Amino acid sequence: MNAAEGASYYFRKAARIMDVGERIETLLATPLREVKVQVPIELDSGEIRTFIGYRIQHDNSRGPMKGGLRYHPEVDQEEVVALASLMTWKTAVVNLPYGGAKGGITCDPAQMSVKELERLTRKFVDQVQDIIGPTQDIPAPDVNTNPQVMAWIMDQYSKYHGHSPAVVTGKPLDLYGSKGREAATGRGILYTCREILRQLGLTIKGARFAIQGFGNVGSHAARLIYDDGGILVAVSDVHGGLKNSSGLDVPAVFEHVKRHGTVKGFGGGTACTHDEVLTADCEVLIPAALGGALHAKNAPEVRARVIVEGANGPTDPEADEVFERRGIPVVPDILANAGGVTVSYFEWVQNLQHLSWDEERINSELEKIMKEAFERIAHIGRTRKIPLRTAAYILAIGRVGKATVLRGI
Amino acid sequence: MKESTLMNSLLQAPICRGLTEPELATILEITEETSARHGEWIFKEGDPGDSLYIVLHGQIDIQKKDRNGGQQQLARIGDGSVIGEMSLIGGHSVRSASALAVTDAKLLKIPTARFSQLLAEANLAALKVVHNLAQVMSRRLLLMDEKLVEMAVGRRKEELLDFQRILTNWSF
Repeated sequence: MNAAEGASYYFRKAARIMDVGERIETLLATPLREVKVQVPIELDSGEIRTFIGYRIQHDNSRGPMKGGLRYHPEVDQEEVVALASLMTWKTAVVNLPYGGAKGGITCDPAQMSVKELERLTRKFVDQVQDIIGPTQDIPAPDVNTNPQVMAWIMDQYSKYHGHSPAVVTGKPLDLYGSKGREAATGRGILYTCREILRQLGLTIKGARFAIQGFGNVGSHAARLIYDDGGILVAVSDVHGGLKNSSGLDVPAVFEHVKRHGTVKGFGGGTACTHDEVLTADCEVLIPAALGGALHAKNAPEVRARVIVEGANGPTDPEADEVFERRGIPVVPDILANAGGVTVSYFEWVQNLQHLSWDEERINSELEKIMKEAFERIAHIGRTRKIPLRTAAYILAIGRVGKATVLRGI
Repeated sequence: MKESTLMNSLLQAPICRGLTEPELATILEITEETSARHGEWIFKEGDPGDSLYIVLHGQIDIQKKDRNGGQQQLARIGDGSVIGEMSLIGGHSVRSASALAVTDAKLLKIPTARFSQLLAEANLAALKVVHNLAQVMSRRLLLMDEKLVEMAVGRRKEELLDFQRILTNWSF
């Protein structure tokens, strides 16, 4: 089962506990619109290459749809559909006035020049400009897309519809981007860790963390947790990992990554594999790399007291059951990594109002939203005696369901 | 009842439509007059089905057991109607539903065996009756279709209400 299938499994599990019935389940699971477009471009070599792009819009009952746009050789429609629905539940969990969407282009950006990527992006916008927009569907960065790609989207869309910074979020700071957007997901994870540790009678200060993944999510989470007094005992990226039971010197790790592009080879710890990080002795495990990292085989060996999902779908359903049996709480992706979309929402709000918030305001508003969502989910979990993930889906289904019923079918 | 009065009553019955007087007389020959008191069962679901009835006068309820063991009323029928026809056409050996007299009633009973014999002889009167019966049954099917659609619509409404109730149950 891949991460995307896991997402729909968890949705169905919650829908069945709520007993919404087969037809309501289908209504909530079925995407509103699935768009598949041809994106032909001329490569630098003069050769013509045709790429396939997708934009899946899952649900708009709570507002314009929101979700990333990814460039990857393995992008396929089925996966994008599942990820679009995940966005519906995620925006509902943190109560943003959004629905869910996701998009992607099947391509290998590592094999493409910047000019080719720009042509690809602009051509894709040509194909979907009539279904995206500040009140319809607002893309954001995802796998292999960055603020520059978002800038191209804004520019190309604005050629059709007039100046429209709010059509896309995750833009560069110098082009209507928001302060705090880059670190937002990591910061959301920090706030989530604070809340879950509080429930165990612990604080970030003095707690030991293992983080798998040192990309946009893992690296910011590591830095913020370290600044808050947390002890990073293990960290890794695709090239390899590091362990140090008395705590890694995180600023020095950052210096090392800046020079070498990987945490591997850092002198202040012992080398380990990317997967060994998952079974490190610690209080909090943050899988922030790939989907499906935790499965039936390694779940019994996890030594953390809690798991906070930085990545989308890092825990497959079998591992999820193992953790439930072992009494290890899992803070689900749709809550834990919702900081990114939350600050995207702030960016959109600032764009619509033509003003700019300072970083302090961004962070405090983010903290308020994450804390409130966490408390509500923890309350549902306690009163109904269900795991946090199921509680989060139930909260999300309830919100989307109410909007659907109020608006009418 | 006098034979001429019986003939007149039969002429009113849809299943005897288009029959000449001699043909009616042929049918009448194989019938027996019977009556039911108010509150009396004419037959019950599961009984052996060996005859059909033409209601000369009176009101009859057709009922069927539901899965909880209660009786569901399928129809209330009156003068000129036919009941128990499934025993003739469908070859059902047991009654698929019960018939309850809700007023005192007079009926004509046509034993299936004797009617089948007429049919086997290609008797025109019997063939005309079967043709009429087919029309009666197709009208009933039509009503049943409408009822089905009504039920489906009713359920959809309930489904949305159910969902609202579920959401209320799960609000925090």
